[in-house]
Amino acid sequence: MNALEIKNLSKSFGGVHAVRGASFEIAEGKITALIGPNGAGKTTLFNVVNGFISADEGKVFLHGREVTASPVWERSRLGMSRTFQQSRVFKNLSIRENLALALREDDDKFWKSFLRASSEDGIEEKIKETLSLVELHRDIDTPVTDLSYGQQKLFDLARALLNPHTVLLLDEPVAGLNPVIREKLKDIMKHLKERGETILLIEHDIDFVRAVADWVIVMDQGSVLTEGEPEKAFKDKRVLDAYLGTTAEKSR
Amino acid sequence: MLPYLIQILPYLIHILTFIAIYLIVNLAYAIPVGYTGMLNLGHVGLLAIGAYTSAILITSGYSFWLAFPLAALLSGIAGFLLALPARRIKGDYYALMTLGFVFVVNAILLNWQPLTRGPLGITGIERPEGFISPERYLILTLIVLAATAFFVRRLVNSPFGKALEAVRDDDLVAESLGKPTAKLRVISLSVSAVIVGIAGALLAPFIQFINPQIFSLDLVIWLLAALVVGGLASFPGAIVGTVIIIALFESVRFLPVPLDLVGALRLAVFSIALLAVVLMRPRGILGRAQLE
Repeated sequence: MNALEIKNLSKSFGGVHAVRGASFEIAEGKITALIGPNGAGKTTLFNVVNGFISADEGKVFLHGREVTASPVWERSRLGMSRTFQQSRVFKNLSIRENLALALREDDDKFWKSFLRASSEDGIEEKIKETLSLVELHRDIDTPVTDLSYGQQKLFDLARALLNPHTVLLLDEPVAGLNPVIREKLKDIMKHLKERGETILLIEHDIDFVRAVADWVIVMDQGSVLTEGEPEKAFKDKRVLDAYLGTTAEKSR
Repeated sequence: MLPYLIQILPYLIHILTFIAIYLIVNLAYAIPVGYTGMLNLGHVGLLAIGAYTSAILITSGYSFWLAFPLAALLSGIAGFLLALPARRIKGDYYALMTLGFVFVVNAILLNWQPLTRGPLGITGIERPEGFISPERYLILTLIVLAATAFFVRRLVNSPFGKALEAVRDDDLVAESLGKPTAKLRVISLSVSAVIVGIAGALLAPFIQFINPQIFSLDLVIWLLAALVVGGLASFPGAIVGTVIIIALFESVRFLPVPLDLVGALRLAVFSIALLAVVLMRPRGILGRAQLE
């Protein structure tokens, strides 16, 4: 069974058709990259899959279960976990408090939470383990706003990993990062692949995609242009046209 | 010194009881405003519901001990209803809506005369047997305050309390981590409303006379100002802010100024204090978060 299935998804904002009838599948245990030029509809599609934006048409299935109408929090509990293009944090909390929020699954249960206020078994170990995995070496009681941009991207990934999940959605994980952290993230992604994570990522950095992705889906003007293994997809003339604007040039 | 203290003891007991009741209110008020980030201005309406429930039942011959939980229950139900729109309305719009709630409650208190006696208010609200004297009533209030402080402190430090803070800081990220933010907002305000109802149930027999004027816009501003001065999302901040605001309010009484100037002077002192805090410490004296 596929981890994620997108069927005929469409979303418009006024007269702008951001996503038009996009369909694709994400295989379990693979890293799939969603690429395309600016304005291709990748982020909108990502947000529709995650539930931040509702679809006008089409369906989203998570492990065969339809989640099109499910709220964001329910999709998360069903196994979807995501990062953000611009890292978003709970700015008044520490690294520990931020990450513990990702780990806890029943903290909305008022009485249960109230009665076992101090019981946090194993949380600290899990947090430290995951921070070590993403190579973010900071004291966990540091205010999260003390992290640099690059560290916040790593923190964002750690939070998505700690949030109990079966599918990871990564929104431009290396955007704005220096080459050293980019290389570090390549290694982290390879490690995640080895441990069987299912990942859908949006990324503009073709070298990064080439290095980590098993499968590439190319979007242009809201639709899926083509998909396939990275090397094959990057040699596709339609993909080159979409990125380099050859088609647009010809049509002028 | 001692004779002077004995002379002012009744006043001290009165003011301590007053502070204790409003500490209960503001510890509860801090849950939705400071910890959950809901700019709710409707708590005075909830306090009025608690106080009037208690006053009406006691003056109708029912026991204080029956009125007390019923006041909490009715205020809790009102708080739950007030929280429902917070699932969709946020920020300034929610603040305006909840402020409207205070005016609606006030209009009901003024106009439902057979029940509330309208602008005349309700008099003769008896304190419970065993707690009739001011000092004993202070003890009862302090017991309730201690229980409230224990409850609120444990709540805000629990995983549930951290989930509320997540809703305050970024509700979309909280949702993406599996937090049902709408449910968390509703529980936050409802729990707070129950406690405020309890404070109302204590307030009515304390002052033994209530009318709609007590629960007006002025009190809305005082309560919010106390939280802002003390600092949001801070348990000690809620305490410090409330004590400072009441102390400022009361200190004007002792200034050598004509009585008809006391009201205006109180507003001036209060405005300067608020301005000073907002300019010098935008997060309040002990605050960890800022209203946005």
